[in-house]
This record gives sequence, C-alpha cells and structure tokens, in this order.
Amino acid sequence: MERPADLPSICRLQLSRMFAEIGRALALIVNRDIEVWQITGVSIAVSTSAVIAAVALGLPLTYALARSGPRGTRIGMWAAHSAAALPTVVVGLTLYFALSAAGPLGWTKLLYTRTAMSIGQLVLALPLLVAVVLGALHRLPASASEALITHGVTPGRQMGWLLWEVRSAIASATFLAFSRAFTELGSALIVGGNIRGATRTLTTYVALEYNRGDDARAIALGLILLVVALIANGLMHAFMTEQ
Amino acid sequence: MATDATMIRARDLWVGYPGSIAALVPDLDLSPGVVWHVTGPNGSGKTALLKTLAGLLRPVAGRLERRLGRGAGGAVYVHSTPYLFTGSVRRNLSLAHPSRQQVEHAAGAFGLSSLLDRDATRLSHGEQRRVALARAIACRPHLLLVDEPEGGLDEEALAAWRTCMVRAIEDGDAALVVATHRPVAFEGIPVREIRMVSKQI
Repeated sequence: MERPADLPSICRLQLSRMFAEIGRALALIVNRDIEVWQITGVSIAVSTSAVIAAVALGLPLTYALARSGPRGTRIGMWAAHSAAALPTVVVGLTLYFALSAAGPLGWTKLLYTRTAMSIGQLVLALPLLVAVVLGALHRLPASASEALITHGVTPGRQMGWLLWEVRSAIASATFLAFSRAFTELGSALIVGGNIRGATRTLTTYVALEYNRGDDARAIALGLILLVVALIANGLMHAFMTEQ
Repeated sequence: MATDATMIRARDLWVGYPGSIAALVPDLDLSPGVVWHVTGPNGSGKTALLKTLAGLLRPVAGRLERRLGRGAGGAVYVHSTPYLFTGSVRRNLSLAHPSRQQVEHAAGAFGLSSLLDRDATRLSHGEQRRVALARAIACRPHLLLVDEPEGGLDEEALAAWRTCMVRAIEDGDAALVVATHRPVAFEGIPVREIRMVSKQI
C-alpha cells in the first residue's frame, strides 16, 4: 500500500527550490546582465521625469488651492484623495483610449512610448503629492501667511516662504509619489507595451518573466525594484531627520 | 479731526470675521505722532479692528480709507502669538528686505544681537515675541499695530519696545495702535483710547 505524501518534505523541496532560484537571481545581478541594468535605467528615468512633472505642476496647484480659502482646500482634498485611489489599470486604459490612433490624442503618436508611461505615472503621482502638501499647508497657522502679507512680501515670494515651511511634507510627498510611480505595473504595461529596449521597465519585465516561467529572472528584477524603492525611502528618512 | 497727514479714516466701521458677529468702531482718524490704545474685554473685536486697519481683514460694513500700504513704510501688524519662520532670527528679521543695518539695529534694540544666528523656532515664547516686534520695527512702518504686547514680554523687553516706538513717533512719521488690557503711558506722546464695547448686532 502506498504511503500518503509526506507534506513537510514537499514544503522542504519547495523551499530549497526557492532558495536555489534566489541564488541564481543574485548571480544574475552580480554578473551584471546588461539588459537588466538598461531596464532599471528606463524605469528610473520614466518615474523620475513623472515625479519632476508632478512636483512642477503640483506645488503651484496645491498652493493655489490652499490660498483659495477653506472651500477650495476642502474640494482640493476631496479630489486629491479620490484621485489617489485610482487603480493603475484604469489610468492605463483611459490613457490608452485617449492616445490610441482613433482617440482624441492619437495625433500625438505617444502610445507605446516612454513619454506615455511618464504621463500615466504623473496622473498616479500627482494626487498623492497634492494631498500631502495641501494637508501640510492647511495645518500652518493663519498667522504665517498674515505675517507675510502684513510685511509687504510679494505674492510670488509668499509662495516661496510658505512652501519652504512645509518642505518636509514636500520631500515626503515626492518620495511617496516616486514609490507609487516606480512600482506601478498596470499603466506602464498598457500604455508602454513592454517593448524590449524601449518601454520595458522593471515591473513590466517582472510580469513577463513570471508569465514565461523564468522565476530566477523575475526574482532578480523584483529584488532590484525593492532595492531602488528602499534607497528612495532611505533618502527620504535621511532628509526628514536632517530637517 | 482729519488732517492731510491722516493715514486711516474710518466712519461707521464694523469689524469682524466672515460669518461671525461684528463690532462697531467709533469714528477714527489715525494720524502720525499718536499712540492709540484699543481696550475692551476678550472677544470685543480688538484683534479684528487691528487686522482691519492693517488691511488683513475686509471691513464688514462702513467706510474705511487707508492711505498707506503694507510692510516697509506702511502698516504692519504684530500677532499676539506671532508666527516665526524656520531658520535663523536673522532670516526672520529680513522678511521685508530691510538693509543689513536696519536688521542689526532692530536686533540690538530688542537684545537679540547675540541670537541672530539661532534657530528662531527654538527660542522661548518671550524671545519669539521680541523677534516678531523687531521684525516689524526693522521694516520701519508708519503704522505699527501690536496685539497685546504685554503677553510673554518681560519689563525690559516692553521698555525696549516702548523706547523704539517713542523714537519712531518722535521722528514724526509713525503712529502706534496697541490692543491691550493694561494701557501704559508713553513719555511725551499723546495717547488716545478706542474702547471696544461688547459685540453689537
């Protein structure tokens, strides 16, 4: 009579296979697989440009919302919180239909480009930035902006002074926005198309390798993704401690 | 009586915050060389009047003619709980772009010379109030509006502030409006009182 399968030994087998895969993954990273590093570069470039655009658009927008009174702040908060909950695939799909040949922005021919991926990530990152910075500006006492006004500081410089007061929140929001952009898959896959050497990023590549069954590569890429996200997080904490 | 030097003229002026009860202010002609004490119980609208005169609040009703701007050479309001910006005392005193000499002079007048490079937000409450007053004085306002200066200031700092104001007023181009519960005399300078009665309407 056959004995039932020994469950703990199956677990051990799975576990040892996993460790072997991780070992192969690490070897892959150490051996400097050129393609992996090129893909990492694309990921960082796409997300960084998305975050720079989010900061450039988001700071004046947030400041305008904060200065428009309690009503503007409330509406801005509500809109930012709602938009921060947008699923990445919904953003990807919407952008896909807008940018596809028959779509209203088809003439831009941006579909399946890094720019399209950056735009998708900008849409995902902007609400996070607005929500965090708007909250911080809202918490500043009214006497802060009144002190600037009564001392005759020009409106442009008032913005500079007040944003500098909430710089910790801006730093925190920027790194949060980067994490959201860098680790998202849905939008990058749909509007980027995972084209080798062009729009392939770490997340789209992990998905591809997982589907292909190359666990070692998928894990290696996942580890790089994790390390870059952790470095960004570490930089944020270093900055916050500095402040 | 209104003269050509009148900086602010108010008639049937109602002050207050949007959506809250307002207070009626007696007719007012603010001209240089005078100290005005704004007195009255808590919540009688002293702060609202000062902020309205400073151009930080819109009048609820009535007529208000302001013939001076804000900041350097205009009207400057000092909060009872002032906000100091992060960074050094010097950075705070430079808010309105005064000259280096003005900054150092204002710091000296308030005993802040040794604190110029200290982090302003880490100072004691009394020191922070001195920084706020020095910051306002540094931009040489023609009309200084100070909300309850006695809170948190020791006698020495109050005396320094009075000396500064007396000097500016004696130069003939400044006026002072102080919201206070303890009116004090300013040597050789006419003092008038605006008594805020409990809220009306």
